Amino acid sequence: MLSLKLAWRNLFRNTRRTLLTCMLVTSSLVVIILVDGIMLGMIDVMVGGITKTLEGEAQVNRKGFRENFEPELFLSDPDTISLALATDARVAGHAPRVIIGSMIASPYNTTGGLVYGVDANSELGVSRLKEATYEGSYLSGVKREILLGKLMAELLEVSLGDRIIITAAQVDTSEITQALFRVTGLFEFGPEEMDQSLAFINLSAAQPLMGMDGHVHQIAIRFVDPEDAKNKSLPTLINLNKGDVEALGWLDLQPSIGGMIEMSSYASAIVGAVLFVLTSLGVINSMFMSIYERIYEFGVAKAIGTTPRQIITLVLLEAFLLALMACAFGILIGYLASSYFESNGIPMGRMEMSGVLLDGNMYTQVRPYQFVTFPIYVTLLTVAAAIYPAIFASRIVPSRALQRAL
Amino acid sequence: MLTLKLAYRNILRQRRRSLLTAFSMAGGYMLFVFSMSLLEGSWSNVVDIFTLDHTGHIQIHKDDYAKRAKIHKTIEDPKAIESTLKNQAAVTGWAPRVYSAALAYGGSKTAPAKIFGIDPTLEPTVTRILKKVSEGEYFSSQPNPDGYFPAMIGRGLANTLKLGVGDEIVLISSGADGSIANDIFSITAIIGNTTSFDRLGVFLPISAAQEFLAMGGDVHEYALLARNKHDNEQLAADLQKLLPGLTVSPWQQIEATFYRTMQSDKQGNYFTMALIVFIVFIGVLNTVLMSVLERTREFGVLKSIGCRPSELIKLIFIETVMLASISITAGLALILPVIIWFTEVGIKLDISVDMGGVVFDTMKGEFSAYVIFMPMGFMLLTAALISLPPGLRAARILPRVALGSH
Repeated sequence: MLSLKLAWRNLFRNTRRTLLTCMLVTSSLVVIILVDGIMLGMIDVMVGGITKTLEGEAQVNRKGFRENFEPELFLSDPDTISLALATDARVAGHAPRVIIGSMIASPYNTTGGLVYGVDANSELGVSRLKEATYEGSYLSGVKREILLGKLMAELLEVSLGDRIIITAAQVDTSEITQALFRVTGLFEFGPEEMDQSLAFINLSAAQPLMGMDGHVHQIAIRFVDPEDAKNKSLPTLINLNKGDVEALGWLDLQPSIGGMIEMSSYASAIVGAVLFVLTSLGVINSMFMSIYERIYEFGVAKAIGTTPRQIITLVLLEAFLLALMACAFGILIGYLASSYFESNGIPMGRMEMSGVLLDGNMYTQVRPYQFVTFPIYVTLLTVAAAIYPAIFASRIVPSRALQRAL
Repeated sequence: MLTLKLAYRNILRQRRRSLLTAFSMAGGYMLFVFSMSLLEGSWSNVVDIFTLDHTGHIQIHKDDYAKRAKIHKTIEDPKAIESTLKNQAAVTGWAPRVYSAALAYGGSKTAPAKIFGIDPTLEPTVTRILKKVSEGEYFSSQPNPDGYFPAMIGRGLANTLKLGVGDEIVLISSGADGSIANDIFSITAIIGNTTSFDRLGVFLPISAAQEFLAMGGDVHEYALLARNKHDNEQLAADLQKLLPGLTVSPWQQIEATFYRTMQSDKQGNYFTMALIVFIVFIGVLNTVLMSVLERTREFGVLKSIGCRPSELIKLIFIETVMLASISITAGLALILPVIIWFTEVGIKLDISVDMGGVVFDTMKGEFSAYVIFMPMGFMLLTAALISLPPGLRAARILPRVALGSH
């Protein structure tokens, strides 16, 4: 108790220094809280960009289909799969798709792209297609409807109502088949690649076009709980993995996003480690200064019988109290800053990574653990940084210390 | 001179403190240089990869062909441009190209393909196409004994159509005059791998492509390499003046999405570095302020024997900047080998990330004046600024009060 009181008083003997040191520790804590919040926010956007835009949280495909979108690799028995998904309580929605690599031509220009044949209603529960349709109307099941990406429409120089001809090769016979569509809507997902090379037609129009009645290439899935998609032992997906049918969560479908997330967490770990080192140098320095000032005092204390252990305790307690103060400020400022950015966002500029558009503001995420775990780390670190100065103080020799002060 | 000597001695008076402060500054500097080097190096590596893979440093088109490609937006007077380019010492290589989309047939299979008409002798002066031949042999403009022109196809297309070297490929497209173009080509090589941008490409000799597409002698694009890649924007502007009827664009415009992503990423890093430097200098401010407070009495004496306030400010300024310079020099000596290693060797990541349409998979350093001196200047400037408050405090010390204290 005496040590605690002494330590507290010692801290305020040089208030300016204590405050500066405090500020140092506080700013590291705030930075760590913010960096973690930004990373969480970024991961959320990236994962959301992939799973909510088009790809879904999981997909059922024929093995090898995703490599080149070869039309022959369709799911031969989609009804059984759909039935299984429809009766699964974990699945919020699933959407069957036919994906056709084809030539897309307007009266003015021609381009290559992927035409998705989708079921308008099922798609609502899986992808963002309807919300992304910014002009015209969404698919309604009428045969000649087609939605074009914004950039593709610019390239083809078409607007609503214009004619589009799709040319593709039928499954099995490889016979060239053409069909006429009229632009019913334009969509904008964000990433240029998607807005430039994708088009959507009704599933009911795509199947006869490709000569694959009743078959689909892909079933995209959204779960009730998004965490399920990362669960490798989830029965929903395992049961569908039969023979050459493969059902995978987005982590397996998009390994580069997994890599990205891994890289981001490495980066924030490195920033954290560097901050820790820099902060501890500052703390060590400040503790030393305060000990130097008090060499005479420590000499006296030792001369009247204070044990080295007690002196170590005193110095460590000072560091501990300093850390507590700094953490209190840090938690407060960190919380205020992070929740401000949670609602207002940090301006980041426009980036496109792994097919996900990060545009405008990055919203941080505030999590309780950030205000428990990080302050504990920072406190431990500050106390650890004080060990060296504490040992130094405990070794002060009274005779020399007293002489030196005179 | 006297001030310099005094400053030097003052630094050495508290060696441990100076050393600890120096550590944190050296650490901050090293981190700054390291991250700048990695950032600049990795990005410029990516830029090299795609500029030398396909884009070139500068491209010349008719009108807005780069944004809205249309077969009839052609450069109609290639001879005039070629003679202009020949006279440009700053242009080290140039290659004409024509593009179109086509349907490709191989046996019973069909797939959409992109036609790249390239000049077999000029193309290697701009891109690394010779190195991308993964199977077979690089082609020439000459037809084979059967009268078929040679073609090189992307790995993805080869896999989809199950074609290999020596096989024939049939292309169907529409010509510039609206006619249907179709012809047989003989495959001499497979290009790249399944992730290259040209995985679905068919490379044809430009003369064969022009004939196939009924384009006469017109071309769609010139890709140029600049002698100094950092000057490409200036060079593009110069060329634009020489070629008034055409559009000359540096790669920054051609790959605008990627360029924006790169700029945003760099900005984010500057922000992180500024934070780290800020934290380092809170510690430094603390040290300098303490060392001034310790010497209150000394400064009092100095002032009473006639030392001017400005002298004291100068003294503290020189002390701080000198310590900073020493730390930075030591930091530089330590970080230099690391940077050189990263510049020469680098780390290949086992994950690849798609950044705005360009694959990013290698961490490389950059060793340049900018990377070394920008952080140096920034840190010295901050050190100079940080020395002002303690300096002002020292300058304001009243001899009477100072001598009375302690």
